[in-house]
Amino acid sequence: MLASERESLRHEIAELAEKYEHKRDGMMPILEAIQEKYRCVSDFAMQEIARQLGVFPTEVYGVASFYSFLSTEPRGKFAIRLCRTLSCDFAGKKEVARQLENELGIGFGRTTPDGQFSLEYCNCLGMCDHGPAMLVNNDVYTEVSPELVSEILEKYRRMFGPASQLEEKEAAHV
Amino acid sequence: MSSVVHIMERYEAGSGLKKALSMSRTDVIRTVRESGIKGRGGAGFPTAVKWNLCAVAQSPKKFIVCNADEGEPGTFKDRLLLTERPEVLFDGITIGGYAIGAKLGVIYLRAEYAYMKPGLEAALAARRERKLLGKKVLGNDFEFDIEIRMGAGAYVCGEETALIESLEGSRGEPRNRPPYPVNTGLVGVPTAVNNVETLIACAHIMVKGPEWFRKQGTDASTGSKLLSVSGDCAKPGVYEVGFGTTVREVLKLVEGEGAKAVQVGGASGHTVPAKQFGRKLGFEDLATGGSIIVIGPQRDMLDVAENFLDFFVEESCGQCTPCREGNPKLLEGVRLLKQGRCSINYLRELQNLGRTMQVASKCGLGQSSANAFLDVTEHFRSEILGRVPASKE
Amino acid sequence: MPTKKTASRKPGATGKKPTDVAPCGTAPTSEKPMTITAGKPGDIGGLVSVKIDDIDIKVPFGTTILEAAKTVGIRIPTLCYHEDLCLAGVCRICSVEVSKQKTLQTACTFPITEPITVSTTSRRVRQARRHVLDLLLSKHYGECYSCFRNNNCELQALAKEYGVDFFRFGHPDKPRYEVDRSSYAVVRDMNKCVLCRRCVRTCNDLQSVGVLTAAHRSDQTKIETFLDRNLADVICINCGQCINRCPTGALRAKDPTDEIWAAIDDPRKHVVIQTAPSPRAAVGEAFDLPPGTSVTQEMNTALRRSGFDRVFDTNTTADLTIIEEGTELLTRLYKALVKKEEAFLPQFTSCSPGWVKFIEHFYPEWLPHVSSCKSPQQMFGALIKSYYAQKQNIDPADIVSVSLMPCSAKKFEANRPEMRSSGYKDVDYGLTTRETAQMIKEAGIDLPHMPKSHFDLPFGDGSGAGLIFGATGGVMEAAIRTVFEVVTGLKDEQLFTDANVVPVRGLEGIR
Repeated sequence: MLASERESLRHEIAELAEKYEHKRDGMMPILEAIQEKYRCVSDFAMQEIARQLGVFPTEVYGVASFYSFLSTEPRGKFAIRLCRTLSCDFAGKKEVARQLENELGIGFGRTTPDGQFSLEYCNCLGMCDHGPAMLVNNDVYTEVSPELVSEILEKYRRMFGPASQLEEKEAAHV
Repeated sequence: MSSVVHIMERYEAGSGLKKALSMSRTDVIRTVRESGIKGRGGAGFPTAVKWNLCAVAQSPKKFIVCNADEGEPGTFKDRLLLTERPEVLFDGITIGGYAIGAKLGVIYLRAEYAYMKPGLEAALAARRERKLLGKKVLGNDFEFDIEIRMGAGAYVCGEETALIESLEGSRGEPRNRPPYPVNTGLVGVPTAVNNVETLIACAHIMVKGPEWFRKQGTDASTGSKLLSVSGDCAKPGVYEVGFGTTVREVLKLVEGEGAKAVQVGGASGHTVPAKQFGRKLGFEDLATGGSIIVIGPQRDMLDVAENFLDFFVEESCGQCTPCREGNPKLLEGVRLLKQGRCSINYLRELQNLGRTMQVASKCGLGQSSANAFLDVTEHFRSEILGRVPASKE
Repeated sequence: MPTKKTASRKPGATGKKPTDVAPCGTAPTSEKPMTITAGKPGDIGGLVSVKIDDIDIKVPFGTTILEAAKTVGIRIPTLCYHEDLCLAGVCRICSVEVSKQKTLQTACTFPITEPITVSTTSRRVRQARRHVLDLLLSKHYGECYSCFRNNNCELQALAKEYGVDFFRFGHPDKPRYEVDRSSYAVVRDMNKCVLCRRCVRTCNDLQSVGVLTAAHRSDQTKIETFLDRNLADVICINCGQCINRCPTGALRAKDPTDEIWAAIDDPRKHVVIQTAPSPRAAVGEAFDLPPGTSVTQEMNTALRRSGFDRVFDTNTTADLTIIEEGTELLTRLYKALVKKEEAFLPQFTSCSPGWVKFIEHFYPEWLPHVSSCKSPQQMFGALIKSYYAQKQNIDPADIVSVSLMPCSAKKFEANRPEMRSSGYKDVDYGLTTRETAQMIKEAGIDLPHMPKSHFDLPFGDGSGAGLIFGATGGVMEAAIRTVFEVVTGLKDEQLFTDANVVPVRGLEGIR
């Protein structure tokens, strides 16, 4: 990590920790904020969070490794999560899963080499009456079919490019 | 929607709260007690008892927590309530906070519902403007605010002590009980954890009175229940029925009568075979948080069991031996059955294991994860034994 | 219900106090204040009736079922429970029937607050115990014969006691994880781990070092270091307390006995061993003697017969340490009191390598306060490969220097890069008490019945000062004795009875 990146990360974490009065219950919101922005909670971030909250770095690591929506390894810019629970399974998630793998060229549990998409299963999204259901970051998609998959992915692919990246970064600051 | 409309009824924001604040805290709890309402998240603990235990606990600080970590497979009623009836929920939380003597309510919202957060935050901000939250709620000597905290993708955090651990910034690992959260909860102080639907029902009960709630349901399971119905039926969706309704009646409503089985209560619930469709929903028999999955005749019951066990293997917190190690064993057993490689003896061993998991696991997840396996291997014997997989042998 | 207090120090904390939340990190529960409601005022402190199996007793409000059962001699198996540590309640093997409870309850965590009936013998309880063991064994790679914990393993003992006679749920035929042998002192084999979390609780709460945590979830749960790094690459201080509390062979000290046997068997090598006071009173336990029996002189013989060329007494260099450290203290005192300048006081002793590494990692600003003297082990090592080698006309390259120490951190100390003042690695191997006992047994020697013999000269004499190093505060006491005499010109005995500087000894307060 560049020294400048470290500095800015340190500063961000200090600000977040301040918001939660450097208490341990700030752990989840801080981890979530870092995950949201950087797509993972890095080694350095965890140690810094530990320092700011007065806990052991291993405790931060223990928490970060427990939850499905947090990761210590970088996820894709767009994290695709396909529900695999029974109702979505009945509604045809297997075909959608296959199509996702085809479109992205990766298997479940992986991230595309360009770091743009990561693909994983998740459990019941609470959209069982409109399955198969899928999340792309925080966007919900229901009644996903194999045909729809490529449309959905295309929408996110078109979000690359300097202009849209800038917009996204600004949005993340809100 | 069903013929009876209760929880989704029109509700004037603040009405239940206003009513509650005009009473003493004890009277609020008494009103809830008279309604007989039990927790709507699945565990079914009498709400008034929980609130009362919290209220009498001596502590300068207390919390009320709204469990919006709806993660039970097949459950989506809270999703609907959160998106379409947030004001009723906020009233319910505030009423509960008033009853127990808390100054802060926390909504633990699952990460998968993050898209709801901006809307909910905006609604909370509006409430603060209207003095429905703040230092003097509706001009009364009652200070209360609500904060939203996000989950991060862990079904086990729907268990109240795991939820509390998560709020404290730890792994979502359930605690030893006793002591219970009503005495030792969030950061060690008395905490009441309630489901979204429960809190909304309480708000309605304040406005319409406990007798209104008792009009539906049975003596031991008063009131109505929101059902999330999905699966092999023509009309999936959220329905409201009184407790005591039979499975058959529900299937009629949703046009799923050809079903082979119905999963009541999600992955941790009961697999009800067709011959038992006369059973009634309610805490006396089929307790449920509302999840109903209709399983059509074309489905393979072992696929159903496998899907649920896969779920539990993934979602177990991993603390205690029976759940952490038992679930993978049961899953392996289902796979053996699918391949036609499971002896009757070993099946019996796994069933015994399932029964041990039900009594020896540390929390509700482990205590109910074997349910589907036990139900399927008991009620669907003919279809699970002696399989010869089509591909080889 | 007494809850354990722990050191609330966290590393590198920016002066912020730890939070409202109790410091028990990844181990769940009971570190947090357990508020038990009393049904009536006066309940707390009062007695509650409980019937366990068919025995009626009264216990203080809040006593756990496990504690109550102990008072009447009822044995309940435990695994994750440890009296030094906060409660976990994760293994579930202590499950018992409790009246009015639908599910079994863990005896180690369940407080008795109202009259209940407990059964430890029901079918469900027996079945639960067996199932817990069967499940743990289904993941426990390795077999007892080839494990160093054979006959000394809690999992093995439980399996025997509860009649495990076949692997109901299978047994792994290959390891799942790589063994971490990176550290000089501690070896971690997670294939044998039963996830009791004792090591985590020990490292976090007892030692406040925080190297270990439960990571991931469900059946992927594993006890890991930060990002699962090698133990040698994280802040482990090598104290070995985790090894002490591990119920199985998942954690062990790094055993150099193969290399030492090779040296002994090599006719060109001159193998010497120095023994510290504490192991001399502990090694007898491995030979079924009562704990604390001193077998110093029997061990001298045993070690020689095992093949060591010389057996030396670490007390000798302990005395040297006193002189050095005492002088250092005097110098600092002089600087502060006479020259009225800043001096690094208080002075901390430095013989414990775990302590030194602890300060290096967590309180580096206090490092100048630590005595600059080496530990007796290292002083000895340096002397043997220089002074001794010269006097005895032996090439230091042919000397293999072993030290018998009670502590695994000494293995690390011997490998510290700066410990080469002789021009060679000053101490080649650190041996623990257990490992020494093992070597003696392997040589077929019956230690308790060995004839007594003295240490070898020229490093055979030690004074009483070195002997008390083993006691907490002993080093400081020894230093004070010397300093006192030097400074005042009086004899210790004139002020302190029998020269015992009692206020400095023992566990009260901080020394």
